[in-house]
Amino acid sequence: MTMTLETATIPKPSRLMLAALALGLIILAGFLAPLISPHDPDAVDLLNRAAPPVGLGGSWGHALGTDQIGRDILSRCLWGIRTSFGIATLGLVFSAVLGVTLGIISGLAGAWTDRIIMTVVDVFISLPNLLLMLCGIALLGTETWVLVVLIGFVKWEGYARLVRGQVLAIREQGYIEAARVLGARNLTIALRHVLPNLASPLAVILTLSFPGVLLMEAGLSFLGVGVQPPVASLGRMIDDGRNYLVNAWWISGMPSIVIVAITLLFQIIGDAIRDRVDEWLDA
Amino acid sequence: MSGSMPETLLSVRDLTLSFATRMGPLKVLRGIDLDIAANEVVALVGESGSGKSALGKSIVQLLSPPFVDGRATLSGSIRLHGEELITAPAHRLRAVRARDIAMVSQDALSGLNPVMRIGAQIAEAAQAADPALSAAAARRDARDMLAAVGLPDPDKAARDYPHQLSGGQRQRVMLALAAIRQPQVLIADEPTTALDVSVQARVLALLADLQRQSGMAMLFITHDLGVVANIAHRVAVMYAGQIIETGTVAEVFTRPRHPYSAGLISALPEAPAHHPRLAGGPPDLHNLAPGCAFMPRCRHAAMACSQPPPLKPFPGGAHALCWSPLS
Amino acid sequence: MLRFMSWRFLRAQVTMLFVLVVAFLTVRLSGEPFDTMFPEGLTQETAQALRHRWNLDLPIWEQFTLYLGKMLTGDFGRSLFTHEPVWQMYAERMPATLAVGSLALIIAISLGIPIGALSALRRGAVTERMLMGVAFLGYAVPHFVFGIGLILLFGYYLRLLPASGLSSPQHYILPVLTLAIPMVAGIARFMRAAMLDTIGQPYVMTAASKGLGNGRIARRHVLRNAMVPLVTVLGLEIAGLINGSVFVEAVFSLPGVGRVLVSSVENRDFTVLQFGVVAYAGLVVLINLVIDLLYTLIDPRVRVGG
Repeated sequence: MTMTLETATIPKPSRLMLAALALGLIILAGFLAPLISPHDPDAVDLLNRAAPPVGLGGSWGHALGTDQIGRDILSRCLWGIRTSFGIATLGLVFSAVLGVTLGIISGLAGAWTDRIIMTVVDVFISLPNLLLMLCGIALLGTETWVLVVLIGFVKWEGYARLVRGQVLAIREQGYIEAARVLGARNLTIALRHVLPNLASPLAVILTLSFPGVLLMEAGLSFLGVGVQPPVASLGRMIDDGRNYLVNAWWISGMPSIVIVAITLLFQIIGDAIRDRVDEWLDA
Repeated sequence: MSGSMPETLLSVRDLTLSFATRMGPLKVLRGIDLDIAANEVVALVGESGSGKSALGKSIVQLLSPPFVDGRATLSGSIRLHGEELITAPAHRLRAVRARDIAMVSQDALSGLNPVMRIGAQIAEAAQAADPALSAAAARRDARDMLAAVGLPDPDKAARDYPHQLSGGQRQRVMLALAAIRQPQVLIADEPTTALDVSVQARVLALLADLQRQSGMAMLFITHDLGVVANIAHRVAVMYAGQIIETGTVAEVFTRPRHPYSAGLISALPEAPAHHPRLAGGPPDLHNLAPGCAFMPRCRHAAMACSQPPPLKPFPGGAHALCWSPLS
Repeated sequence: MLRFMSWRFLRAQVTMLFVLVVAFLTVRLSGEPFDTMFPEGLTQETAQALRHRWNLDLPIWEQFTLYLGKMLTGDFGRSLFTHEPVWQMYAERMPATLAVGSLALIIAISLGIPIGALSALRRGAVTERMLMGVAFLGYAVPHFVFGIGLILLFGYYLRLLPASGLSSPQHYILPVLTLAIPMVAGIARFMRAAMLDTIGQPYVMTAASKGLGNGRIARRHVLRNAMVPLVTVLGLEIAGLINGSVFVEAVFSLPGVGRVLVSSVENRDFTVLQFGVVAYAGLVVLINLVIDLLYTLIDPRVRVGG
């Protein structure tokens, strides 16, 4: 609350820059987790269980404290960030590829294929993502690649709509006809004329859907059906600490703060992007 | 000027309107003087951006939507029957809008509430004008008014929603909305621009009929000089937030005094060919020179024109704001 | 209106059919059902007889029609894990989920709409900032983090409210708030935007030019029109609510259907999962139908063909 109030008074461009910088640092820290994390994230230290973070009686040796079996929370958070971003990035790239492909097919193929794909899009939108994810997990298991694939499967419709719309719009325009007369195939046309124009809107969708996907992974891991131990995951860490909230809130609290910080930063960046897009549309 | 008028109903004096913008105050109206007598139709003409619409909205002080802090500053005097409206309290202004000064805007297509039945929207206006009116009586009046504005099946129209009517029918409803209050003044702000040309003429004829029957005064705002002669008694020509010429329709159309009026009239298809045509566009209101605003476009511009021009009277009651009016 | 509704109805049916196929395939693809249902080491004849008994020797599409028929007649099978009837497992847990969810929905609507509307009508920097701040948090903080935060604050530090289970009315407060507050924020934020958009419409100026008071303009001209887009957003919010309830049930250890669903995923208890998916999807589809109906009631442009 206070945080948003403060950020709200900073002028927009610098707010965007600050948020992007902070988010970049977080992502970098996650990326470099194997190099910079102070401890092995899985190293159990039963003599040093639930040690408090610095400032609450803890030491710099475990800056964010330790969890219920003595693992270093800072290290686990860093590895957790790495996991979350890895899954989300791969999943979103997969969803973009899937969505773009289906969008192109839908836009170029005949009316019936188009209608079928668009009906599927409608159906996907009307179902809660969580439900589809749970089905897939039950079916395919809880390996990490499953999450990536499932994220791809539940997030593709936005891209498909955008690309389809653009393909249809461009089909109406003359130069496609001209290209066709020159013997270009539909697919070549789509790849050469549609995709380059869509690079930035696709990137915008990708950025805007990032926090949702991160939260989805964290949520599934929290429920125990996402990322499985020993892979460190922020959602799992929050779940682990729930039984120790009274005496050691930081076990759940630290990864919670990390998740909220990441999504808030994405939110700020997303709002700024939307404002830019609006301005651009107005102009 | 007012001496020749039978009875001044609405009197605007030295009206100034400015909007606060990022580039400083934008002066949209610059010292407007205008009188309208009972039963008189005054046409307010000018290019878009000349401030004619802003003048109409200023008279009822509806410059920004309700619940929005307007950035407009209005000064000067607007008197209805001698009562000052600029300083009137909000409740008094509402009563004036409800009873005395009605306004028909150009948004015929979006000026009606899409989720309210036509009859209810008109009845609402009737009840706002006369709080003593019962709901049933208001509904009956609304239905009668719909018949009066020429809707083929007024009972059905009263039950309809706006999207079920055509553009022309909707504009008739807008007229009904204004006329049911039996206002003393009607401000009609380009009431036909959103309509098809064929429909325009019929709606205009209806407007003229309503005016004649009720004897209300009307300020008819338009950029289309072609329709002015059919409906108005007097013309006021606006340019860059000022009224630069007034006079009877006959006077202004046959002997325009201001070069700008002459240019406007010569743009009419039936105009005599010898009049000079207008070139260029309206000036930037942010960067107005102290002199005549029309000078950069004027064929008759002289040294004197860089000073604020005087208002010169002419025989027949016409006035022109010009250093070197045409003779 | 009839055309609109029958189209929506058709779409709802297509969605449900899709869900049923997915649910059926989930069970089918999970492995040869025979192996999960029966012990190993049966003789050839017994196995064959059992296959025939359970219709597993039929072509897959015939199995699907049989399954469809069973679903439609309310025969949802038994848990592969506990052998309890699936229907009963859910029926026991349904009251908790429905109670918490509908309370949250009622609170969200009855607070979100007025807060959003008032903040649009009386624009002040402070309320605006507050609202946007809360809405911001509503989007950024997932239910499970928010719930844990509330437990820490009210359950452990202030010791005001119980933090798990549903054994008394006080027990409902935290889970309902966890579900409701992000929704209040979302609805208020959307309502505010819809109101501001409506205030700028020409018909609001027409209303003002009739000399109506601000209260009447707000009620009859702004609010009614702003509700139209809100209704469609409500559908999304309710889908979010269903998502959130799964997490809230986990955080507060509520005896709700979300936990049955999650444990069925953990146990790979496919008959239980199957019903959960079909039931949840059915609920979402039903809610969307109701919203479409509401939409036609509130917007004459849909109700009365143009």
